[in-house]
Amino acid sequence: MSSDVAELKQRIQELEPFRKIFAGIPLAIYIWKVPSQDPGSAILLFANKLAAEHARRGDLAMQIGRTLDELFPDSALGPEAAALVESARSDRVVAITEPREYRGRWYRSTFVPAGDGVTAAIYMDVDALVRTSVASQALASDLRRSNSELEQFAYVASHDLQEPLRMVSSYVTLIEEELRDKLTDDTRMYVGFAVDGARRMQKLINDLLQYSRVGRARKFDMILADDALDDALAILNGAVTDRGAELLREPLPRVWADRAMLGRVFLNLIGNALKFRKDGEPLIIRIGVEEQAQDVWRFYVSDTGRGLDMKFAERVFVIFQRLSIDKAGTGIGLAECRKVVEQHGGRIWVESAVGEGATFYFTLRSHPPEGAG
Amino acid sequence: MKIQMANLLLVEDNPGDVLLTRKALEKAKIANKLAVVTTGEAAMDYLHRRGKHQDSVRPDLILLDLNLPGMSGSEVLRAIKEDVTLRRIPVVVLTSSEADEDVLRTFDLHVNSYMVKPVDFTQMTRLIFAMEDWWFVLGRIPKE
Repeated sequence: MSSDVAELKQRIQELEPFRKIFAGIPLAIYIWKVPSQDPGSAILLFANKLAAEHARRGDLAMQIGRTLDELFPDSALGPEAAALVESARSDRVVAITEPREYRGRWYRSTFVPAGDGVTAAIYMDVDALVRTSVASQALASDLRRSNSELEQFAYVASHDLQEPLRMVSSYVTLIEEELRDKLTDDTRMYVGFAVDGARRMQKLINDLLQYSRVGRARKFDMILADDALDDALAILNGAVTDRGAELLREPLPRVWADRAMLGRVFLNLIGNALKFRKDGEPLIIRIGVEEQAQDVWRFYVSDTGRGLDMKFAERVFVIFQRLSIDKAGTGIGLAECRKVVEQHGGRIWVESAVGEGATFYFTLRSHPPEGAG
Repeated sequence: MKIQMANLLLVEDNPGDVLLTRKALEKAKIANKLAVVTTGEAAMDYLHRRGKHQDSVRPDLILLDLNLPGMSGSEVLRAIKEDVTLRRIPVVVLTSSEADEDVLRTFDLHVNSYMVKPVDFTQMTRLIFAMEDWWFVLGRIPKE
C-alpha cells in the first residue's frame, strides 16, 4: 500500500465525523463556490441530507459540481441568490430573517462565507412556526370579529329593540288616557297587562345587555372589594334599610378585579337576598370573606331568607332559569354573577336549604395572575 | 329671558315618537311651537337656514334622538356644540339607550341633558313637564 493511499484514507477517516454531523444537523446546508457576480454560475460543492429535501431532489451528492442555474432552473430564489453572492463577495454573514416560502414550505436562511468565494447557504425550516402563527392570527381576527358583532348586538339591543317596545306601551297608555271614561275595570286591566309585559321585556333586554357586556371593556386592577360593595349599596340607594333589612359587613380585602363588574356581583346577590326574603320576618344579610388559599379569597353573601332546595343549586346560575314566579326577576342576575366571577378566574356556588336562608360563595384572586400587568 | 313662546326643534325619525312628543306638548303649560325634522342632515339645514329651511326659526331648545338614519344624533350634537353660533342652544338628547357608554359619550359631546325615553305616555308627559319647568319656567336660557 502506497503512503499516498494511506494518507487519503486517513483524511477520509478524519472527515467522517463531520459528514455525520452535517447529515444530522436539522438544517438544509449547501456549500457553493461563487466564481462571479452571477448567482446562476455558483457551483455546488456540498449538500447535506436536508438540503436534498429542501431542493426536492433525491440525492444531491450526485449533483455536486453542477451550477445553481442547472439545479434550480425555476430560480425562485430571488433574495437568497442575491444574498449568496453578497456573502461570498464581501466575506460577511448575510441573513434573511423574514421567513420565505419555497415550494410550499417556509424557510429562514443564512449565508456564511468560508473565504475564497465559498459560502454555506443554510436553510432553517420554520414551516410549522409560520403556520401556527398564521392560524393564531386567524383566531385573533375571528375573536375580534365576534367581539365587534357582540358590540353590534349591544347597540341593537339598547336602541332598536327598545323602540318597538316603547311604541306598544306608550300607545296603549295613550289609549287608556284618551278613553279614560269609557274603559271598564276589565279593559283597564288589559291595558295594565300590556304595559307590564312591555316593561318586563324592556328589563329583560337591559339585563341581557348587561350580561353581554361582562368581559368587554375589562379594567382589572388591585382594588378594595369594599369599594365595589359601596358602589352596589349606592345603587341600591337605601333599599336595604327601607325594607327593614339589616346588613352586616366585615371589612373586605384588596382583590384582583374589575370594580364595576364586582359591584354588579354584590348588587345582584344583595338584590336577590332582598327579593327572596321570608314574609314578615326580619332579614339579615351578612357579607364577609375568608382566606381560602394563599392567593384566593372566598367571599360570602348570606341571608336569612327563604333559601332554596339544593337540587336547584346549579340551575340558579343558568341564564333565564328562575325558581320563583316572582315577576321582578329576569333570570339573568346569577348568570351574570357567574360569568363575572369566572372571568376573574374564580368560582361561585350556593349553599342553602329551603327555609334556612342561602349563602352564596365566590372566590377572587388576592394578587394579579402571572403575566398580568 | 322669560320665554313667552318656546320654539322647539325635534330631531326624530320615528313618527310614533313624534306624535307622542306632540301629544305630551299639548298638555304643556307654556305655549310652544314644535318643528320636526327626521334626519340629522335636515336638522343641520334647519339650524343653518339652508335648503327648504330658509325661513326656519332659531329654536330655544333642541330635542335630539340619538338613533338616526344617516348622520347620527351624536354627529348632530357634535356639529352643534362645535359651532359658536349654535352651541348655546340647549340640546336635550332623548334616547332609548340606558347604556353607560352612551351616557358618557353623549356628555363628552357637551349635551345639556340626557333623557331616557319613557315606556309609557304618563311618564312621557312627566318628562315634558319637567323639561319645561327646568328650561323655561324655573330656568333661563341665553338670548340669541
